[in-house]
Parts: sequence; C-alpha cells; structure tokens
Amino acid sequence: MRPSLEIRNLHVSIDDKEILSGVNLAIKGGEVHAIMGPNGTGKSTLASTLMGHPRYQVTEGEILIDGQNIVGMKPDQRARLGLFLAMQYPQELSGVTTGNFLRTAVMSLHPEHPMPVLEFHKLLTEKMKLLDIEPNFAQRYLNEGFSGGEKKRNEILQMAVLAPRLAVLDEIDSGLDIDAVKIVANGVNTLLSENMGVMIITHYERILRYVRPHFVHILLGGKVAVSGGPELADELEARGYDWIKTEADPALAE
Amino acid sequence: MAQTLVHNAYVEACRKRGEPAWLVGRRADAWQAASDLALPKLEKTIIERWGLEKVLPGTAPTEGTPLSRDSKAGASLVTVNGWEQDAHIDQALRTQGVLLMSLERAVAEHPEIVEPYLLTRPLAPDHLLAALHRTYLQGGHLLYVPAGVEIDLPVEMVSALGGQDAYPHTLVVLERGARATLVHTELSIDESPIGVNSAVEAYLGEGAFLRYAVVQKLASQVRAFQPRLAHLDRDARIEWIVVQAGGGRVVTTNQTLLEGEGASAESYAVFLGAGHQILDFQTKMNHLASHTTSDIDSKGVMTDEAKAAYTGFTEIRKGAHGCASWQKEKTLMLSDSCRVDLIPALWIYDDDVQKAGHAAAAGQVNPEQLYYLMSRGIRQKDALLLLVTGFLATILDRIPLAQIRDQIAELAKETIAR
Repeated sequence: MRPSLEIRNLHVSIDDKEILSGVNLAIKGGEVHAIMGPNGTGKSTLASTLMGHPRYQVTEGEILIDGQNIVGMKPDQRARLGLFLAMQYPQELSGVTTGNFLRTAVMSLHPEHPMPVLEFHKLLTEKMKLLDIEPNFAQRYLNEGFSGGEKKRNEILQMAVLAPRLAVLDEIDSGLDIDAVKIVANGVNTLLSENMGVMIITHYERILRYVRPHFVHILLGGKVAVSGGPELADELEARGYDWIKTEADPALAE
Repeated sequence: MAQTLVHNAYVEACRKRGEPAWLVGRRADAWQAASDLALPKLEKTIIERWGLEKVLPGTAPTEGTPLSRDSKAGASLVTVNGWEQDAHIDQALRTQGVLLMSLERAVAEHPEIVEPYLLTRPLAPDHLLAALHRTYLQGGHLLYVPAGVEIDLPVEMVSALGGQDAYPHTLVVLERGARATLVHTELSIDESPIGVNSAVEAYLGEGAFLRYAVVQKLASQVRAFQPRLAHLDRDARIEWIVVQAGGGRVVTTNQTLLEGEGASAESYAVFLGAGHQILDFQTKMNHLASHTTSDIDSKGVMTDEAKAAYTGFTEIRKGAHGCASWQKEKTLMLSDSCRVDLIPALWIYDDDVQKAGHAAAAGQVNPEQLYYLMSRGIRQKDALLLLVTGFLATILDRIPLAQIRDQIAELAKETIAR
C-alpha cells in the first residue's frame, strides 16, 4: 500500500501557548513536500509533534498514517508505523555505538524478521557508502564528538537503514557545506520511491535545488498560508517571504 | 547467652572435625573479643534490624545440585555453602605449585600456606560482624600462586549459597612477582532468605599483580555482610572489578591497604539496585606507604524503591609521601522512588601529595535522549537499556574480561526489567 500521511486541522501548544493553529497537509508515497517559512512559524513544532515529542500538546485535530490516528501514540509506536524524523538537533549518546543503536532500532522495527548480524552489516556498509561515510563511523559513539555535518549525515544514514514509509527531514541542510548538501540530497533522491513520502522542512531553498519538491507549502502564523508547485520555492528565493504576508493573507501582515 | 552456647558447640565441633589447634585458637580469640563489640555504625544505612548478628554457620556440607564450571578456565573451583563440590586445575599450573581448593581442604593439606595468612590481620575496623566472621568462618576458597608464576587464563571461582546461613572465607595469596586474574561469582542456588557473612582476604607480595573480578548476584531475600580486603606489598598492583547486583540487604566494603612503597590499586565498581534492595557499598583505599597510587571509578544504576549509600574513602596516612589518588562516582536513577547517597571522603594527613581529588554525581535519564532513541522505533525498556549500557560504558570499556562485560549487561537488563 502506498504510504499516506494526512494532517487535519492540527492545533499544537507548548506550555499552553498555541504554536500551530489548524495545519492541513496530505503526503503520499513518492511525493516530496517542502515546508518553508521564516523562523518561528512552527515548522519544527510540526516536525516534533508528528514524531510525538512529549513537550508538544495536540489540542485539536488529527494526524493520520494510512488512515490511523497517531495522536497520543508514543514515538516508538509511530516509528513502527513507518514514520521517521531526521532531527534538527540530534542527541549525543556516550557509550552507545552508532552500529549497536541502529541494530537495536532495526530489530525493534521488525521483531518478526530478526535480521542476521551479517546481513545487517552488509546493509549498513552499503548505506554508509551511499552517503560517503567512513567505515569506522559505526564504531563511534552515537553523535558524540560529531561535527554538525556528520550528525546530519548520520540522520540520513539512519533513514537509509531504517527505510521508513514517511520521512520528515527537519532542517537537514542547516550547517552543511554545499558538498554535504549534495551528498545528503543524493541520498534522499536514491531512497525516494512510491514506498516513501518525504517532508522537507527548511527555511533555505538551497537543498530544494538538489531534491526537487513536488509541492511547496509556506507556513506562516501556525498555518499553511500558501501551497504550490516547485516554482513557489523559486519565487521565495527571488522575493522573500514578505509578499506572502500581504498577498496571501493580509491578516498576517504587520 | 544463647549465642555463647551455639558458639561453644561450634568450636567443639570444629575441634572434633580435626581442625588444627591454631585455627580453633584464632576462632576462640575472636569470640572473646566479640562480646565487647557492637554492630558497625554506617553513615546512612541502618542495619540494626537486619539480624546480621544472628547469622549462624551451617551444620553440614550441603547436597547441592551440580553446578557447571567454565571448561575453558585453566583452573576452576565450585563450592556450595563453602564446601568443595568441584575443583579442576590444569596439570601445568599444578606442577608450578598453584593451588586452588576449598579452604577446608587447604587448612588440612597445606597449613604451611594458610596459617601465616588466615585471620592474621583485622578484616575491618573491629566490630561485631567482623568478629563473628572470624569466629564462625566455614568453608570457602584458597587460591595460591607461588613466586614468579604467571597464570594467563582467568581462574574461576563459584561460590554458591542457599538453604542455610553461610560464613565462607576466600583467601588469595600471590607471592612475589606472581600474576593472576580471578573471577569470583557469588550466586544463590535457591530463593531462601539466608544470612551471609563472607569475607575475602588477598595478600599480594612484592610486584605481584591480581585482577580480582567479583560478581555478586545472590537472591533477592539474602542479607549479607561482605568485607573484601587486599594487602599490597611493595610495587604490587591490584585491579578490582566489583559487580554488585544481588541480595536484598547488603553491606559490602572493598578495601585496599597499600602497605608497600609504589603499590597501586584501581577499582572499577558497578552497583545495581532494584525492587526494595538496600545497599551499603564502600570502596576504600588506604595509602600507608609512599608513592602509592589509587583510582576509584564507580557507577550505580538504581530503580524502583531501591536505596544505596555509596562511600568512596581515600586515606593518605602521615609519612606516605608523593601519593596520588582519584575517586569518581556516578549514579543513574531510573525511578522517582529510588534513593542514593554518594559520600566521597578524602582523609589526607601528609603534606606531600602528588594528586588527590574526587568527583561525584547523581543524575536521571535525559528525556531528550530517550525521545531520540524511541523515535527510531526502540521500545522504552530497550531504550533505557541502551542508555544504561551507555552510562556504564566508561567502566565496561576498562574491563578486559568479555564474560564479565556480558554479565553486567545481562544484570542491567534484569534490573530494568524488574
């Protein structure tokens, strides 16, 4: 079945302050959606809410994966339904090797088909090659002492190994030099298929030159203010965000 | 009064069993001292109601279910309630004069080795429980490595307890320049709520090296008093690996007396507390000679309602010049109701100290790390286990014995699952 993520009238608060005020979005397998918008409009709140971060309170609305509402589910349950979030600020875990962590994750996602160690290592090696990652990476403690670029690449490595059905990439391009952006983009393009839908959250259009989105959504004031095709990203590059505030929703203009 | 009768009968039984006069005499001396002594005063743990002073020695060798030993070990010894059940030692080691046997057999067959050491030194500060151990010690183990002999493979010692109270005593003697690794496992053969008063005495001659790994995984109803003590001669070195997981109420002291110049000690300890366990765990380093060094690295993982008091104690005695010592203790708390008191203590009486210090911290699981792991599909329990393993890694990475590392991982898993 082609994966489907549907967000319906999503309202989210942090510490009783509303950040998202009725977001609607629908993503299917094979599609790339870019979520753009200036800082502070709720892009990362959307990402964390989708994954089930305990700090974010859904006050209204639904998040449906293949028609099943995941609001209230723990992050691990969501992951087992095929959701993946490449995080903006990945955690450092001393004492836990990247390889051991990933193997634990693979086994958690597919307990009914335990992957033999050799097969796992083959998979890991193949994906590390795809992302131009040094072989000793798997023996290093998870993100500990990693550069910003290495952490982002590690997020994409995890996505490649875990093969999610719906991947959300939160500011995956921030802090990356152009070569790293190309490598990450190449990784995403290689993995993209009918079996995976992708949401790219960014406030630069740079990565969108390498991963062409099918749809672009501008998030403003906790709502999707404008949606369009890839040309919308080009327009943003040329004109910035201010015109949207006035043209798309005069109420948002200050 | 009742105990006096028990004691007299016990000593009489020891004499009748053919125990040598020197040992019967040492028991009698200890008993005489015991009448004036009280229970040890611990800073944070109240042991008055544990009944440790009422623990009595067993009556006869226990018929135990056969326990398997590690067939790869060059030497291994299994005892049940201190009585020898199975002993194996490679011919090559035997030829070199290495001894591994129950203490009872050692007393009978090798008094020339046992007599100069056994109970010749205080086990702990004088208190009732130490005196009772000296009075009642029953069964146990001897590892003896002659001068210059190096044992490559770990020596395995399994101390199985159950069905009755126990007073096992482990004596380790490494003569000058000897080297050995001893892996000592203390386990229960049943769930019986026994009392244990066990002790380990190690004597390291000049330049000797002992790696002593002990894994205590007694049943959850066991009450235990467990002092372990090492005496180090000049340039001797000991590496402690202490894994404290079992027992319901446990007082344990792991102490090194750095008696000879240039002696050094490292201690890696992991303590795990779950359920209603109460633990008083002490690591002690006494610098009694110049240029001695010690390093303590202890980590605890606590959950449920478990309570632990951890004391790291370093003494540098006046006249012991140029010593270096360091203590690190860290605890991870997985529940709201567990409790840990970390008590680092440095008693420095000499002015010429190369280095001395400590660092202590107790913390909880970082929720952002837990979220990160769970976002990859890892269930909360497995994620906690990864975090705990990661927390213990700095110690695990220092332990050269894969079997101990695996056991710690397994015991940590049980702690979390409880």
